[in-house]
Amino acid sequence: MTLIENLLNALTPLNLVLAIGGVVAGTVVGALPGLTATMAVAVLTPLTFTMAPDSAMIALGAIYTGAIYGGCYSAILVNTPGTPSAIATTFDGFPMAKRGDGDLALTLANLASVCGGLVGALGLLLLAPPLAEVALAFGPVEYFWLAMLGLTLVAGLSRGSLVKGLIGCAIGLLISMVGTAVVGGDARYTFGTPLLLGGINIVVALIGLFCVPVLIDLVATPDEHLQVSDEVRGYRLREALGIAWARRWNLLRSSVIGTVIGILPAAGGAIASLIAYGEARRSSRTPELFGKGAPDGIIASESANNATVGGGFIPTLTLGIPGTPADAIILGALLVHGVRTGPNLFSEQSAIVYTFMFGLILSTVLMLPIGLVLGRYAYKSIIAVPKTVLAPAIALLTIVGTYAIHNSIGEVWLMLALGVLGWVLNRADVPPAPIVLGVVLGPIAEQGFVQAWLIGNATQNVAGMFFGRPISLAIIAAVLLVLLYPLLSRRRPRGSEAE
Amino acid sequence: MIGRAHRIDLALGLGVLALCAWMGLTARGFSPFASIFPLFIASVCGGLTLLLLVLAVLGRLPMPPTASGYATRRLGLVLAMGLWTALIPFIGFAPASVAGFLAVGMTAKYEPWTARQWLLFCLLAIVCVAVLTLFFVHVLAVPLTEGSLFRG
Repeated sequence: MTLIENLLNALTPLNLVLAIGGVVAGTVVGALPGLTATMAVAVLTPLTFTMAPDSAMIALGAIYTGAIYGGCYSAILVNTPGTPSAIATTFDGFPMAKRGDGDLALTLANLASVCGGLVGALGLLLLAPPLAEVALAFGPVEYFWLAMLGLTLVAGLSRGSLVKGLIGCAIGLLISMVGTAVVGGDARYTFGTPLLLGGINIVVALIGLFCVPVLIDLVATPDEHLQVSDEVRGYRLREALGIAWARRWNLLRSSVIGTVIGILPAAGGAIASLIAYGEARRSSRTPELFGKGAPDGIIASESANNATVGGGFIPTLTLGIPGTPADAIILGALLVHGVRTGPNLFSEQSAIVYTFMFGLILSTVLMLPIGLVLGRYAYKSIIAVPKTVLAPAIALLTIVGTYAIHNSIGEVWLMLALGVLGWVLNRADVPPAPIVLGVVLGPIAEQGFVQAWLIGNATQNVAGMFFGRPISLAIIAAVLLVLLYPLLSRRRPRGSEAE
Repeated sequence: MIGRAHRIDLALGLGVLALCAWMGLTARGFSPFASIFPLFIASVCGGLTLLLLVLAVLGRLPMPPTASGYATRRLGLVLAMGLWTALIPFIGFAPASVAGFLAVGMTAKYEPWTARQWLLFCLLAIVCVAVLTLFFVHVLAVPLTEGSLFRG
């Protein structure tokens, strides 16, 4: 079967319908706080078991890509990332919505997500086998340093002082240690309750720390949630296209960053979007506008997180190593369909895999019109709904979203407690993003740290294990750059003034 | 005299320092594999907190944002959500959510309503809860509790 035949196979009416349905379902689920991309894929996977393998893969890819994109809706409109991948989108998305540009922010996020998704899918189509080698070069210590890079980035990029951001990261890491230890299996900080044995779920922390403080502040004043403009402005597509074109290098660079980070198993969209965001701010002529509603921030975050979809499929398909939890579920579905992933996949079952790749590109392209329509509807709904309905509707979603994770009322209490803690920490200028990312990256960081420490002990070279490998050194240099950036950027204007 | 920023930062620093000390001391009772990372992070966090305290004493930290609005409404929302959560195991998800929806809505209400607006609000609460309950139970196959009161 040639590539053209695979492309035509992806364009059959059934596959088109599946791609449209998958993108819509994924976007809606991803937009609801508490329902992550992984949950969307997991819930909808059984529906694909009766389909042909290539159609099933197209449906799953469409759901996944739609869900990652959908996370930007609540990030922009309610300041609550629908998925962890959209944490960086809140930095500029919500300030834009606050000042009355929520429609523009959503259209920009849509364009960036489509562009990022296409770069990731093209990376998968054209460069999968050589790029998979990158993933194999990463050992435990590199994952530990990568997690540290993600945490220092979020601490440096969040509002307020860097020290408070880093303390937020450390609090998140400490929260992630509650429950059964990832190495050793001890029950830690559980107070003897079975509720905490499984640890504090990422989604519980995400909803509690982001959503509840927003609700607490939402009801405190009679002011409008978002500013509303009287003029009819439609989708603002032309304006968004102009902005995106003017920032095309940011768009392209962030998409490439997302694809490469997506290849690394377990790194995921949250790290990718933060690294892309940090790079966008570093290379911007107006870095002071970041965090105050800069379109560059949304472009960087959204293009990077959607690029991780294609990037994450690279190790999943070529090595059988899932890049993200959602990839792991899709990998399971592929095995049910008799698709054996690994180095021979591209020669033995090339028809299925190339049809899927074209299907992923098709789903990403379809995300443009679908996302514009859904985004417009979501924006109009949020600005039209009065606070007396908006506040309880968000509260309802937080409670049912948390309860649905494990059917546990205890987790709802935990979410509420974390929400109040998040609000108190917010008052002390400790933002929620570093805490949540600490919870997300805690298990990855701990596993990498303990494994590297064990290997270092066994070879009697712990320092060499942590600081002696080339990739680790490059990541450590990036960590130091992030930590020293405030000092360096403060010195730069002084130097120019002296001139 | 200690300013507002000072007080908040000092309270934050001392609170986090106490948390780190407790987590670090508790970690000493775990196996070596399970204790190394908590000890490492508690030490790093403790060091950062000491730095925060020094910066706070020197007055080198930016002023934390002030909370505008009514504290009673904030407290009301937390209490309403707490009551909502407490009711779920007893009267079931749907009835508790209708009651919780109305209670949270009240905390955000600033203008007087007509009887028609009240009726509309109650209807909206029932419709929102019903739609979400049906979606979770029948589409996502998530069993939402019926409550011990109605199970008999």
